[in-house]
Amino acid sequence: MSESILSITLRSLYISSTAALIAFASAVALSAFLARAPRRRAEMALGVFEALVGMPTTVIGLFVYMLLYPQGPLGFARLLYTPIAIVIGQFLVALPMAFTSMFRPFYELRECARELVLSLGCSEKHATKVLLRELAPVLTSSYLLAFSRAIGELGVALIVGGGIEGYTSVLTTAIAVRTSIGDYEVAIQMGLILLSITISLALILKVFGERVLWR
Amino acid sequence: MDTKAMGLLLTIAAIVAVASCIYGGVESRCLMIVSTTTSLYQLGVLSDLLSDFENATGIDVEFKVLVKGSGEALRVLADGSACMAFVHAPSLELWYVEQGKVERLAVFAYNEFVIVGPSDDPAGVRNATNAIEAFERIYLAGEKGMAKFVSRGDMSGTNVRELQLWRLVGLSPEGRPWYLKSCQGMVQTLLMAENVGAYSLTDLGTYVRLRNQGRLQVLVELKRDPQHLVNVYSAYVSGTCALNDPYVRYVAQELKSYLMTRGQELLASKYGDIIRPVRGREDEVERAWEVLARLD
Repeated sequence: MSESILSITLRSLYISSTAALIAFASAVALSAFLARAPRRRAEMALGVFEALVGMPTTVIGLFVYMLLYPQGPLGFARLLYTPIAIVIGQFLVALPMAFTSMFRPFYELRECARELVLSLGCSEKHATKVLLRELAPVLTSSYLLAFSRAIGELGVALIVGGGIEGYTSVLTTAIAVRTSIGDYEVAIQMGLILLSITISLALILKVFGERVLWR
Repeated sequence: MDTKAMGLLLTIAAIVAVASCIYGGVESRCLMIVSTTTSLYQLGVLSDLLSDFENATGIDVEFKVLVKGSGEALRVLADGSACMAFVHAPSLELWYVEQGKVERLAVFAYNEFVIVGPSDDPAGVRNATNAIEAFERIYLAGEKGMAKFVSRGDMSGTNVRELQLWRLVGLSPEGRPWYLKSCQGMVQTLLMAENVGAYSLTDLGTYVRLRNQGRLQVLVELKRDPQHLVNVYSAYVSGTCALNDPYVRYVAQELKSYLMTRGQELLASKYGDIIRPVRGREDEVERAWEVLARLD
């Protein structure tokens, strides 16, 4: 009746890392774009995203459901209750997190550090390189935040994924379903797996970062 | 980490995105999404029925099961997000049927709700003549501060029935301090009732399973009432799904005849008291459904 925890875990990893990666890439693009904007406008945009960080994932789930259900605007694509539906939802969940955590350093760096670097005699190209290296730890943290928000959310996965065994069941939905049928032991086991995944990923990325990226 | 690396990262992201699009698209070809109430899933009834259906008829269809409360299961069915549903909330079912959004395939099984409560039974539910009187006693004891009641509060089949019973009593527990809403599944609701020593209404299957797991020390079965507490399970097909896709209609018809023949035998042999097949009592159960659907 139930699928193995390993395969649920792998699916979770695959779906959430994809969603977090897309959210992260979009946040980088958005930051690069807004870093050129006047300070006031950039602050406004940041404020909006900061408010969106706490958006209940169930609301985002319902929103994506409205887009994807058979009579909805994207209903023709038949994406509801597929892994890709979860990726879309988790992307929306993770984007504000990724953006707000990276934007301010991005902006400050461009405003202040760039001038400093240039005045110390760097070429334009070299300056970009130096700035990106400065940003690396921020970017790592920001990806981690996005990933952890994506893999830990339940609302989207339950509503647009449906928690279908062997297809869209991810750790959080499996935990919810197991809890609802009273299998507390298995539920908590999966909770611990979820926790160890996010923590070990954080450690790996930080160590990797210290060794390689911003030595 | 330079611009090149960043470009590489973005490219990877794009590739992964496209790949998962294709993966998702291919996998979703000929699925039959089935939404079900938690109790049928949890007892293993649904997976047994569906796999036996595939074996018996040889129909090549992949069922994907969504586990929801009856309210949500019917909603996604009416939206056409799911093609079929297995539910137990007659009055909600009737509402969607009248709107023309879902069609009933079969009333295929039934069991009983039971009133459970603390073994010392402060409200005297054991001595009540029927379920309505039992609820009245709980209300009166609750007002005196001697009893509590835990409600599902989630528009599931069980919750809908409980609300109907309160209406039959003519008393509304809404907002009373002794009336607690768990807003969760049956298991959590029962555990909550166990922990606070409260009364609750539950389907027999979930209660028996939980008791056999040894998780209920205080809570005991206090009242059965086959007349007021019958619990009817039905199968539905989504109107929009069946209209747009003749194959869905075909599978639905096959499932219907399966449920009423071989499926009945499977239920009788494997689940006995917990989920009873309707065979031999079709008219009786159908009448019970009618009564329940129009109770409001």
